Amino acid sequence: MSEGYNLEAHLDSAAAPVLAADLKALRGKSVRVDGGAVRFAGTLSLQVLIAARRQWLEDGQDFTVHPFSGALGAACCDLGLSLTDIGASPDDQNDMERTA
Amino acid sequence: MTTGGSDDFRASFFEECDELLEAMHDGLGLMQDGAGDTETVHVIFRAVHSIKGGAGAFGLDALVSFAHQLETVLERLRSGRIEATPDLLTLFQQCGDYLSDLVTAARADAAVDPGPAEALGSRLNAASGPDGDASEAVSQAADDFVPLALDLDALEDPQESDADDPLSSRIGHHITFTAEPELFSSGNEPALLFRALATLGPTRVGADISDVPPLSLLDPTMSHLSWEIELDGDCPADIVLDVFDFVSDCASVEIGPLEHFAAPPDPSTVPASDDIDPAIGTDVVAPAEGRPPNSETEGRGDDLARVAPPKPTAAPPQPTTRIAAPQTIRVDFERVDKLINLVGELVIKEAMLSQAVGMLTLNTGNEVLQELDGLKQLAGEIQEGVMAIRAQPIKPLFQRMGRTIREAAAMTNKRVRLVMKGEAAEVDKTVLERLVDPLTHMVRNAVDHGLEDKEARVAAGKPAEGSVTLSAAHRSGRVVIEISDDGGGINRDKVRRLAEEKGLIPPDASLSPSDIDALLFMPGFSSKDEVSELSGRGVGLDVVRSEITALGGRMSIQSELGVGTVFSISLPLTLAVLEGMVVNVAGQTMVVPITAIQETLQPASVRIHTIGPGTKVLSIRDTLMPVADLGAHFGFREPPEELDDHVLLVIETDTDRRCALIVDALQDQRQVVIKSLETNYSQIDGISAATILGDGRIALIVDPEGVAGGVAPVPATPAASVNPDVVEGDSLVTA
Repeated sequence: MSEGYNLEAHLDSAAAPVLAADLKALRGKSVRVDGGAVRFAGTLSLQVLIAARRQWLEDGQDFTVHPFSGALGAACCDLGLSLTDIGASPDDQNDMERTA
Repeated sequence: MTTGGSDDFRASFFEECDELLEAMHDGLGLMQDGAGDTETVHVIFRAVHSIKGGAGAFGLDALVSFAHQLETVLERLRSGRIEATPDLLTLFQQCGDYLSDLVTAARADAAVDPGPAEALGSRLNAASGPDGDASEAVSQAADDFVPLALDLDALEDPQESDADDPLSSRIGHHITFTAEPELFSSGNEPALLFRALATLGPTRVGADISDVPPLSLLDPTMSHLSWEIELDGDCPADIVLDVFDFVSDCASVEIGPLEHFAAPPDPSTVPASDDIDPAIGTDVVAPAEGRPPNSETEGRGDDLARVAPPKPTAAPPQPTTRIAAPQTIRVDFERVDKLINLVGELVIKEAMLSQAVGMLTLNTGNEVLQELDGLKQLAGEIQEGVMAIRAQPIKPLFQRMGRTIREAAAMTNKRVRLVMKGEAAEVDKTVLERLVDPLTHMVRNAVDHGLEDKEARVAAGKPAEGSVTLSAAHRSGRVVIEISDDGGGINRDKVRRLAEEKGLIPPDASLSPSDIDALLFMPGFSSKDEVSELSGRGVGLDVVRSEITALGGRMSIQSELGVGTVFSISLPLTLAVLEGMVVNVAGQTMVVPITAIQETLQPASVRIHTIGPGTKVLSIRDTLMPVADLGAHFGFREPPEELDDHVLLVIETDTDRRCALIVDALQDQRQVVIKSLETNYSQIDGISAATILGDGRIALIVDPEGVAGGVAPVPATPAASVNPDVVEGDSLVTA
């Protein structure tokens, strides 16, 4: 049974410490992060997701970002990150585009 | 959600905005003066662009939209598609002012009137030329953070996607970018920089995430990412560097030729497809050299594994261009203030120690005395150094006046040019802050009343455009600020007539030109037949002078009919320390500001006359001045009959009142740390502040103006003619 977490719409630099603290509180459980409402994602917040994914890998737990918004995908794109870096799957993006 | 960290980020962003707005206004001023060039436009563009970038990171949409709109037209100017007409420059000035308003509103979380944005936006649209539309920029700005369409299929195989663009034949730049924490705290985002790069040519962006630790070890305010960007094309390196110019102090940027990295990825180094990220919208770019792959994660078949570092070609290495970060830091003003207070305490402690050691009656040359001298010198240097931290250039204040002048010019339908001189002069931050209101009033006065109408100027053989000059200079340990105009000068006949009509002076008053000028400072005086909406000459000038006096400043006027008027303000460089004469009065220790003391006299060596009961005057150099006992003034004692054992301090106040103060003895001349009496106790007439002496006792600092006001008449001959009912509690100022 995975824990759910909803990302804020505006993930700017100021939101990164909050996001990090929230996710730290979820350690020890598989986590599914809902990024569908994200309208803006900055570098530091994306870095938190990268670090979280890395942490969950170390912990042997699942960490997934699903679903995710186009804005979140675009932010990764702009920064040269892959969706898998943050725990999302490109397949989700394809699915999203097909249903759009 | 707002956190302490968020507040820090925002505060830092707005500090950055202050500097960017200053740079923008500087550039706009240069262009307005015809001194701008292409680089000037670049500077303005970058300033606006940076503000937009930071604003985007904080979700300040109104600011983003307007900045983008302005930036779009600036870009068209920069690229030569439109010309810098006078109307366009005026529009830029107005847009710059509105951008400042938006920043101010955003800083205060206040709403801002959208009206100007719409009106200015329409004008920007019109100015952007037939093939441009700044409104598109608005929608573009609004879309900045809207999802992009991602063509994942095309990116499944990076090599395939590059089929039409063989790496080996590319020319361009390879850029390594690493962000410092300050980059984010100032509201910048690398993505915005990369987008700006993309306007110069096709780019491929790759992030190196190998240094990102697991969440438990992550400091979320620090960036552990770095980027490799490949930019195709023959764009000059300096243009590429321009993109990063405004983050040069908070990022490391290295640029080298693309050929170095031109070798296509070696297929043999590419991990199995399951282990490779399908890079989204970007080509896969190798991590920075020297960064080993994360073996731990690789061991788990982690898809974080990246393409192996590229092998440099045989081409000889070429020097990379690196932006050097300026050696400055930002410090919260409260910290500086606290430091200043502590240094003040240090100086007081040092004085206490000196006093205690002095009571030991040690021999001259004693090691303790020598070390104490060293400590004194050190404490003095520390104090001087800390005061220098608090000093700030007067330029931002002058720039702020530029807007005041533009608005005043628009309201009075005059053409006015602002000239700034000596704006690098530094003044204590507190003094600067308290100068805003008085200077604003005086600048408005200069435009509204000092400068003639265009027609009158042309008729007088002057250029239609008037000028207001703000200058600052350090003189004798003070800063002198002058507000001068090339207008018609003070019409003294009119001023005198109005003063008579208002009953300020009797009709037969004998007034010198400077006395007449000084009437402008009298409460309620106005030389305008009708007080204008903008300002009224005299209405408020008395308040201005009061504010300046409260700062320990002096004001004077010089004016020549037909040529112009100069208002001079002389101010102390700091409000934190004061050079004073420590004196004994009736068993009390008091401090008299050294700037007010003209000379000290032994009563036995001068002629003192008694006029009536208890009234003494000092005869010195053919003039008479009242003598007042400082102890009696504050109620410490009755005035002494015999003065031979006392000392006279001849003082002259900021309003030119002169008198001789009787004190018992002079102790020392020294710099004292000012402690506000109003903050710690309450205001006392004749006392401006307090200080703590070496023996730990509090000494009151005398306000010469307050003391002399009770004993000395207003200066100069005409003073006797001035209606005392009207000038009660006030005085005239002579130039």
